[in-house]
Amino acid sequence: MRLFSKPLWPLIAASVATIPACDDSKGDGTVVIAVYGESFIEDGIPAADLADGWAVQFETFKVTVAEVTVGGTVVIPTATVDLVPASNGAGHVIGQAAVGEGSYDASSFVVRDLQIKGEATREGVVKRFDWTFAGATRFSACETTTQVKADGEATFQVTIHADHLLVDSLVSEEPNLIFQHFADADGNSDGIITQTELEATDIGALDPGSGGDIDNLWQWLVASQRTVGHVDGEGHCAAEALTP
Amino acid sequence: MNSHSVLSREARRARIFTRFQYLMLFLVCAVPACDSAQEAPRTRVPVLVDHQPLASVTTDLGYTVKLSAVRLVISGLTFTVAGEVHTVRSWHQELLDLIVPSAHAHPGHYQGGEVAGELTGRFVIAWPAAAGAVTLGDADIVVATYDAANFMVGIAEATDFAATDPLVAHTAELVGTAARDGRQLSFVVRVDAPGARELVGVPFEAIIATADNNPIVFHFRPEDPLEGDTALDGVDFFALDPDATGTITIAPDQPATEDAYNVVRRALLTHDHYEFSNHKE
Repeated sequence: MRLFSKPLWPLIAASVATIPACDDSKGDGTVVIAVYGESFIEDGIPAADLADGWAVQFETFKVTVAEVTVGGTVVIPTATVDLVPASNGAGHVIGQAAVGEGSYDASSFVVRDLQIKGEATREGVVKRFDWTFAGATRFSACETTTQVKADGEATFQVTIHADHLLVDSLVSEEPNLIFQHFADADGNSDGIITQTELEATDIGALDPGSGGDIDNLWQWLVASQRTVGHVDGEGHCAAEALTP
Repeated sequence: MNSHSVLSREARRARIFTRFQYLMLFLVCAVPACDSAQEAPRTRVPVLVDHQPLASVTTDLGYTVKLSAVRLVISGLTFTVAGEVHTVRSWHQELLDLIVPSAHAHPGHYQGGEVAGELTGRFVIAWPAAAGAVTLGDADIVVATYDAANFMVGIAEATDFAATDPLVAHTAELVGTAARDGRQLSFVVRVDAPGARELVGVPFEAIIATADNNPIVFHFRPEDPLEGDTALDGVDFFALDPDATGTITIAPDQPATEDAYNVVRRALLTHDHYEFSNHKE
């Protein structure tokens, strides 16, 4: 005996689909979007945190954040912010939007057009850098839950981890932070590490992982900056390169 | 007279039936999705080490390199599928598929890159294997179409073989000759992998059936079949032997060979030079 006659399947499916999974009629709250570079960008990365004794200071750490999506709502289409000015631990607010009450995970955002300017110092030696990364990276399925209450305010923080630019491995769970390989790439010893010099320098002992498609330090940096996006501090996201 | 009384017997039966369906639907949805999934069809397939001689290759610097032996320490071999593996599904899973078509996390579905087979244990792989090939063991593997394999690279220990074996405390060793312009030298390369380093995405294009599978064979490819680069590209062998002794060793912590060491280590820690197959030989 067939309990379910075939013509009823669509009806069942449609009925279930139209039952509200949660009551979404409670109203909207406000989701505030902030972008935060933490102390590493605002104050610099101290020598104590690097394995080779260099210290890194940023003058500019400008990032364009786009398509911030929380609960299926695109909260911020596009905003560009410099993360170096102090934010008292709160990050820089780039916008807000009304989002229905609910508990939202799997949020996402895009980071593009990273502009980084600063210097590294060690024992009186100064190496300056001014790098721009034009590619875009989508960070999705982010490990955080944004609780939105009707008439309430929630914050979704895009957290940028600058120390990822200094790792010695793109696959290790616990990489070291180093700068010496960048300093050594200053081929003409003028104190400025250029993209051209990085492109001409092999990655040496750095570990790019199993892919085998990173050979020079500029490629390494491009790959590294695709990992800087996080949420609400340490929340990880899946990263996907949108442009080469 | 309420409205019930005017319903025909057929209409009442139909209505009761509909209620029954909704009750069933509720029960189905209330059952934890993971507790009654049927076990996916699995099988066991032997994993062998390739016994064919390693092919001679020409590097980007024009050296003809002939490897006589390659050894590698690995553990935790896994096999992965790229798409979904549709395993035997219960009727309530089929129902859930209809009403919740995105239930990808359900048991029986393995998303892209999901592990669906494994061979546990730690191995010192030696290519080419002895005649008849060396069996590493039987992989416990789901019946599916595979596209990749992963493993951890490790460090050889004194207990793996004679304590004086030069591979002890290292991850991999390549032994061979390099020749160019009528000159030849012998070389040994020893490489150390970083701790807890996983090598992912090794090609494994295979269809595993319920029975009569060919063995899975683990190959070392001195030349990347896809891109044509070799595992020893970038090594200027003669420059590393300025006194023309005819023998060089490239190993960790040797400043004179550091650049060569780094490029070979990087090549050996990519998936470019390994492959698993289960083709009939």
